[in-house]
Amino acid sequence: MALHYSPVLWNRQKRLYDLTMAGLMALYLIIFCTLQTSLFPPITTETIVIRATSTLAFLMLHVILVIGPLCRLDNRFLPLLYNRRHLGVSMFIVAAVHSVFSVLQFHTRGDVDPLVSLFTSERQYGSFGQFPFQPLGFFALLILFVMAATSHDFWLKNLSPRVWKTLHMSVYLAYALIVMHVALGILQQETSPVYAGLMGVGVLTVSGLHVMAAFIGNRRELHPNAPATDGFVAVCDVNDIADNRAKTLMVNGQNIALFKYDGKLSAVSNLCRHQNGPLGEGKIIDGCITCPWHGYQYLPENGQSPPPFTEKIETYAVRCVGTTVWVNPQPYPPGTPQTPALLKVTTINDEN
Amino acid sequence: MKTDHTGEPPDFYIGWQEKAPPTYARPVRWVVLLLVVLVPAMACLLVWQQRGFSDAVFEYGQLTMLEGQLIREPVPFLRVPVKNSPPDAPLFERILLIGYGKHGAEATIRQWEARYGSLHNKKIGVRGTLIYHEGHAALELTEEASACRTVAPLPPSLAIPTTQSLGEVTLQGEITDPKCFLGVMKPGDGRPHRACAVRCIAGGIPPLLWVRNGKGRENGYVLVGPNGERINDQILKAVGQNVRVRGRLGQADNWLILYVDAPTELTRLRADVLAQIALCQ
Repeated sequence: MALHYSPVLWNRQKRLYDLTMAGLMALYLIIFCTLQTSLFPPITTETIVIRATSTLAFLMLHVILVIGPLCRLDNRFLPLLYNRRHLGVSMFIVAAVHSVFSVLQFHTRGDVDPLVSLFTSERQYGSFGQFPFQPLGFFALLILFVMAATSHDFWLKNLSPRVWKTLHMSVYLAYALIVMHVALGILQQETSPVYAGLMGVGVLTVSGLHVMAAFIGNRRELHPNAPATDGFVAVCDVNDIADNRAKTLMVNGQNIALFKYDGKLSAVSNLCRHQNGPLGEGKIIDGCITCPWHGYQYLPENGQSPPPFTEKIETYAVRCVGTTVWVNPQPYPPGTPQTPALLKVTTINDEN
Repeated sequence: MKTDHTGEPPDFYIGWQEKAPPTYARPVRWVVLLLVVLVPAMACLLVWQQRGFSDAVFEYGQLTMLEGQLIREPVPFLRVPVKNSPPDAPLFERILLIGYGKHGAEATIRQWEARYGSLHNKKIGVRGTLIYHEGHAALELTEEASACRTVAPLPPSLAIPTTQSLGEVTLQGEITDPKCFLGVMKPGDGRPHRACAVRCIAGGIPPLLWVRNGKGRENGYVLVGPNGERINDQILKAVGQNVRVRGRLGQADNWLILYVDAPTELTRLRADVLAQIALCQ
């Protein structure tokens, strides 16, 4: 939410985040390389680099993938999510070092071009157990590259949040490719059960946390299924919503955040214009809906970011009849002002 | 943890604020502490659990000069006298000649012959990088065309080399390339190295069948066709895999040469067969 362009809007929390991340990465590499040369002196430098960077990148990818569901399960982990893109770009750089060294080591100075060699040296594409594992790593790196290259808000704005988010969801495809890359590659040689066990724990942790977060998120979300009256659907009792907080609804495929504040009710899209963050898990601060992910703000009455910012989200009509809240799930164009429903006893006839 | 009546923390986290509220900062501190323990533990565990690496040697950056007889068939060797062997019954050992990068030595030898003429029955001095493991040595012709430093007539003391026949054998092992396996790469065998072995063998480096008998004994066999012809292209699909190979075994000084009966019909061993073999051992 920048008024003036700056490549990275640094602040204290981002600096702390990056310093901690860099420190942990350096700690891992120093310990791995030192121990590797001490315990296995015959090893070559190239193999140390390939193994140190591959294991570090895979570890970082697991951390990246568990941050999202952890925050959905307990929002006290939100500071981990705030600067996650720096973690992602760093992970890509580490993975790229692994890839460059692997291609140099295994595919250069041969009778064909290194990229041709990558895809043609092993040809058993019809076999599951013998499937060439290196092309899997190549495609995973390609996905990670596209994600790292488009991680900046410049691309988010130009691609649109929906496209950007869809693109970045391909991290799960990259993860699946990397798991297969590891399982069909190094695990065929390093047969210690600890290796297979660690990867199993990693896959189970990532998938388990995602399933749990989806289940709990679904339980928190309202799914009103009463018939519509005059286009409005009864969604909840007004007392179910805390002051300055929201309930999230899924009605007719619309993901809606219903906020209660200052004796009023307003409904807007639950998806932040920035990274599709869950606005319904945010809070009204200084009169603005504030996204829990990166602090983007919108006025609840019209879904517009306060000037001079220009982000806008869809708005919905809301009514309060007695203590029952009614929402019309037909979205209005982003930034369309809506009269907030007042918290007083009224009837639909009164409003008409 | 303090929460409001909706179960949410009473304060709210905003990333662009200078400091995170204590409700959010505390659990993050615990996560960082956990990572400070977990990250070194993972590094230690992942290194410690590796299967280890051979003590094969590649004398990278160190050039060695060797003098001996150039052998062209079935694969290029430099045949050198063994130091301190009796003059009346001189012993010889062969150093496998390998080109720079993932290439065989033939192209380089052709360059030498273009410069010096036929090297048949000549004593040559070659400078290259030594690679050795388990009694087998190879010389990478690092300087390529310049690697051949001297050419002289063959002294009569160098006996005419012969290959001693050891009969028909069936062997099980992994086909790899001798350059990487004898020391250039660690590991120079197994699945992660398979693509590299394919490139090396496709580039003309003679294929090597490495056999382990389960009692700690291991040996390498250079694979050629039934008449000593090169079979690199025919066995590419089996490179980096465990195979059963039948053929006629010959000994050329300190190297074993396997003249494979039917190179295109190598039996790839399935995982269950491999497991049975391991159990038997």
